[in-house]
Amino acid sequence: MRLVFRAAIFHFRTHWSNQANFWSGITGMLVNNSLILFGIWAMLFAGKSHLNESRDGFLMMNLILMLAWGCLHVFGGGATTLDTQITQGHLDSAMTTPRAPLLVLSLTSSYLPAWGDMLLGFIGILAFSFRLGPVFFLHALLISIFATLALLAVYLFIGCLAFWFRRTDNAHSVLVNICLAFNTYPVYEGSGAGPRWMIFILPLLLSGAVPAAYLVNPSLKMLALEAGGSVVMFFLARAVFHRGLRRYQSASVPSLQRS
Amino acid sequence: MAEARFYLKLFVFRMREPFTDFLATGITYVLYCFFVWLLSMVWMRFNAHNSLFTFKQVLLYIGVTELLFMSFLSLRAITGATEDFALFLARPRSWVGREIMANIGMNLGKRLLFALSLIGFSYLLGAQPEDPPAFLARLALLLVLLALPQALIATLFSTLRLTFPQSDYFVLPFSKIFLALGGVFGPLSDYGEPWRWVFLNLPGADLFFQPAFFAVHGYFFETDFANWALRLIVLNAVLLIVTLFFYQRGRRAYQAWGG
Repeated sequence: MRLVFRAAIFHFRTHWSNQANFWSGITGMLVNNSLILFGIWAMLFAGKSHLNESRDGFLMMNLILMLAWGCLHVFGGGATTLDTQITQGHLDSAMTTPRAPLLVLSLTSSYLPAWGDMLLGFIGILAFSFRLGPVFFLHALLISIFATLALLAVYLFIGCLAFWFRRTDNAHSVLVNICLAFNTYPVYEGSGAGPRWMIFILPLLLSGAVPAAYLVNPSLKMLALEAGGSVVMFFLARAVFHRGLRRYQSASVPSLQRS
Repeated sequence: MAEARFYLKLFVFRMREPFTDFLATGITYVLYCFFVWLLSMVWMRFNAHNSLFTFKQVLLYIGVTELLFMSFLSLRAITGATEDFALFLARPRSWVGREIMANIGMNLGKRLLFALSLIGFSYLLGAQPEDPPAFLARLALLLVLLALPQALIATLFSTLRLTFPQSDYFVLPFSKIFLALGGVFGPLSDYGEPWRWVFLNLPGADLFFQPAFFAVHGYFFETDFANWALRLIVLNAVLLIVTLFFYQRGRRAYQAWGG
């Protein structure tokens, strides 16, 4: 924990050292996310009071996703670029320390604009809490932790592709975008009334859609699904990482193969 | 004459570029088809009951807006453009001219591939255009007409970063103005008032909604071709003036490494 804390402090100092960059990055992301939310809201919900419950679910889904995405990219940004780190040989140096390589890789970088995501997600949840009460805030914080864990697992699964395949950058971008899209656009009905095939992509929905369904209608079943699902996903992803680690060859070998 | 040949060759070279590594970039077209499908599903869930579009038409509409958007602004191309700016100061050729031609070429190449994906995907889902030759002719006309404003916007950001490197952080939010307010998520004609009126009068509607509406229906929404073309010409003129202004400013303020 001390290492995580120190890494976060150092990354923050780096970001803060260039104020123009810091505020540009945050403002850019705040505007970016607000525009997406506004655009979808204007398309689907503006002037349609009968869709109020769906609207709240849509907003909560996006706020939880933003908070989870922001936390992950700010405090464990390295995990989100796992494939690049593996193909570029950063794993070599991560394995030379007595600490877990996955932890070391995760703490190597922090994505500045993600502060904007975190901020907007947090402000949005505070706004909902003002309307729905402090218990909602506690629910939202708890569910955000699991959503972050689930998102981390998704990034790990996708990043680990680099252990088995050569050029994974395009695949990484596509798979991440697909996961984010399912938690951004309201395809899934929180009450479970979505298409039946949705059950097959349930692990992807743990970062936004399932938490939102829980926040709209809190139930022990949904909480268990989110908590159990994200923990299982994380341990599975960790197992895949260690499996990949066993077949990993030093960076010089893949680079020779590519040349 | 030699000047014109140089720019023409550059245009052809950049247009052919996306075709050269299709195996590596092919998965991007899977993502494109996924977004077309996903947004069509969202539209089906919320807007199908009071729309000017059938499901087949909306799939084609979103296909067109997404192909225009997914090739809209590339941060990699924008930052790459300024990398050899210092060299161009010593060359007898125009850097702005080079950028505009390169952007037009790259844009057309990408959009042709997206258009091919759309045709294949629409046949796969049984949502093919009712009159394929007419649809393709309209799409081809739009791709040619819309290549210039897209190239000018990309060049504008390249010139902006000569003076303000932080403008990189605003590429994403700027593109979201067009994504969220330009009718990429769904037809603006289905939006509720007053937002429909507001969005229809923004440049995003001229670059995304109206072209896609025209490609699907064969006519423009609450306007005609002459009016749309006039708005496009004015937009191009404004973009060109602003681009040249920031180019001159950037050139004066530019300091090469070691300067």
